[in-house]
Amino acid sequence: MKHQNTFSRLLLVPVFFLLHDAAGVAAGENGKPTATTHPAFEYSETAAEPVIEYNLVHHMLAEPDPEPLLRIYGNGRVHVHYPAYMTRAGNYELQLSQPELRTLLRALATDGIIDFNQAATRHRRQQLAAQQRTASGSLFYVSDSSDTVIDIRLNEYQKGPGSARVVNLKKHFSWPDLKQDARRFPQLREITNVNNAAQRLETLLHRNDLVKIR
Amino acid sequence: MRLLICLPGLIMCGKGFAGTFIFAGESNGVDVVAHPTRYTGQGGTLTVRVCIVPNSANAAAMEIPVQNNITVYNRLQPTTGNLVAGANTNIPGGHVDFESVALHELGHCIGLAHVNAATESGLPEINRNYTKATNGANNLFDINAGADGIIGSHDDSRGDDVNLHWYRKSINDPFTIASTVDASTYARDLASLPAGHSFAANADRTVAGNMGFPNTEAVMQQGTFSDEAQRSLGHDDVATLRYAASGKNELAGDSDDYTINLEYGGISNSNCDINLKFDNNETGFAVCQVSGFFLPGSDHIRISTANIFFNTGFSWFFNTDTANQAPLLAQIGDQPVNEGQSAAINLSATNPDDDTQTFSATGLPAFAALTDHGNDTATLDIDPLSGDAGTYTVTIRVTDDGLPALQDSETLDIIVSPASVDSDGDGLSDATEAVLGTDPNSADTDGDGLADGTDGVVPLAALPGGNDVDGDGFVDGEQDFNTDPLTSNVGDVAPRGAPDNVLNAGDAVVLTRLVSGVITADALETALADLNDDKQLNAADLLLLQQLLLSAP
Repeated sequence: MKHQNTFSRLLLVPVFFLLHDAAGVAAGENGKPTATTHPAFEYSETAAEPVIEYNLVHHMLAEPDPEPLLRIYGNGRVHVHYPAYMTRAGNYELQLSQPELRTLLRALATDGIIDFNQAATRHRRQQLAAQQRTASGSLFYVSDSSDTVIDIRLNEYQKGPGSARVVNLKKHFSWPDLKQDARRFPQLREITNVNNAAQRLETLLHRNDLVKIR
Repeated sequence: MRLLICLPGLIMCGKGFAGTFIFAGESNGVDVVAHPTRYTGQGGTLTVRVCIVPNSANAAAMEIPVQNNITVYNRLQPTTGNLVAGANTNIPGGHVDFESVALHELGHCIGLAHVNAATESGLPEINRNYTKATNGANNLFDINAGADGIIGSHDDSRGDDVNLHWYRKSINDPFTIASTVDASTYARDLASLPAGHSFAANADRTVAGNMGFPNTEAVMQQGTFSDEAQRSLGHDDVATLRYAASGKNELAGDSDDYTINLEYGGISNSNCDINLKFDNNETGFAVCQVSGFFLPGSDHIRISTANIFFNTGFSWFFNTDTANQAPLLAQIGDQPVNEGQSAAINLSATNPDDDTQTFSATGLPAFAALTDHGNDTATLDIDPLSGDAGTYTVTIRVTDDGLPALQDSETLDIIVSPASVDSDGDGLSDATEAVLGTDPNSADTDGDGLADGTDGVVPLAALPGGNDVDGDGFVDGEQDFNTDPLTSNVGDVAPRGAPDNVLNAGDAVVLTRLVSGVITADALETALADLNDDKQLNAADLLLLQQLLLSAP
């Protein structure tokens, strides 16, 4: 596990990571990037603010827990919270190394979460649903959906060399019945990809090294 | 015209505007009415088979709650106070009641949508309790809670939003229900709102509280709390199902009406219309997934497939108590009583669930009172006075303390006759004689020497020539011997002491023995066997009897 020195952490000096593609090279010594491929991002390594949050909001539940299911902080701490009405009720933690966190962020970015265009994808989904309805003559109804919610906070983000550098990026992704839509609309790659991203985060909820803290 | 293309800016068009009936909205039409599987437009009993998928997690635990749901939907009884929380339920803390959630999802799978805007509207949480509507021509929900500040109530201002919620015409109270539910009594179009109302009210719990129905909410209001049970239907739920059951023409009482009959198919995948399963790939919590198609030439949609899924990640509570069963009131019947007389009618009721039961009565006249003894019995005391004569229709009701509270009742008449009048002094009141067909002005209608009634009430002195076998000073009557006051018993002396209203050889034998002195006649026999009325029993009487026997058909 690699850390920045204490002084830089205190000053909240961010490390700027240049992300590679999914098979790319991880950041080098002391969290410094060793290559300059994109997307590139920078986040705070402190434990003050989550870099990634993952949650499932169930609309049939009238009392959604305000605390998200999963929070990953810049220092690699993973905090899992299950509400009181779930079988695994309680709080759990594990620690990711910086390379693990960066790999995860890279994968999420590659899955398209950060650049996900909600309105365009929604419109595309509506078109596909209409096509399915016309083709089959059958209507489809889903009652009480569950939203997959992913939040990513980065100090800086640049999708590609020619792209604008976004400062203080706060990406909020929300999609109802993501897993079901990924199955129903396999041709909608944006949905398939972000569903993959959600599954990466879901995997963390089932890690054996999660330790219950309270 | 049905808009098949979703307008820009709408959220999840295909499922974003489902109304009180699923599929209703801008895409399929705002007047869409959805029907359960198997409805073809023909009336009758619509049997819908509900099954638990074999090998599902919690399959066995689901059985009682699912069967309870089926009972509730088949019973179609609207209730108030159907929200029960905390210590008043059998739900352990931190658990979600499977039966309540399943009741909601099952409602979707037989055609009901959320009555409120719900999350599919895309509205922020605080505004999701507005009544279900489309967002209208401006593609924006226009929401204003009105003067009362209560979201979802009758005075909401909704701009060009198009109402999807079927409401009771001229009443707009989702906590009542009309006796007939169809297009003559319910409407979706706002033109039938009562004066002063601006939008259809929905059966949200806050609206309910404001209208005097605490702890009440439609099952189809989206959202459940842990530790909360909602295991019975609201008026609005029942009204919507009954509206659909009025058939394609939306008029009750004709050939396309149906009665929904949910049938429990057990843990099975055979011939099932609705399937319940725990499957984390299908839902994060609980969902009903339905497909359907339009019935030709109509705004009516028939469900073709229906599946309900639950997620195993929650602390589900599976109710092990069967749904409340109604008490059974023992039959009472009409109660005749005369002015000036008293009657105490004992009432009792049984209860399959051994619930606490309470007796009550409506329509009781001032001279009657009901006393509940608190042990499943009660007494109806009737004490009419002069001037109370008449017929009083009363309903006796026994109600249990189950959820929903169920009851049994009987409507009966208390018939108060005028104070008894006995004009001929034969012991029968004139009113009774009118019923029996005897002459109220003749003590011995059939002239056989026995008074019509008596029961020992006519003094011998008051009826000269009357019989008094037991020598008690009162005239014997037909009732004393169980004989017919309308048929003469002259000559009918057999069997001895209990004439049988038949003249036969037995009578001749007895009379022969009386005449010959083998046996001695008592007063009754002297009266009945003295056929020529000469105050003696002799051969002349025997001869007359033989003539009667020979002339008998």
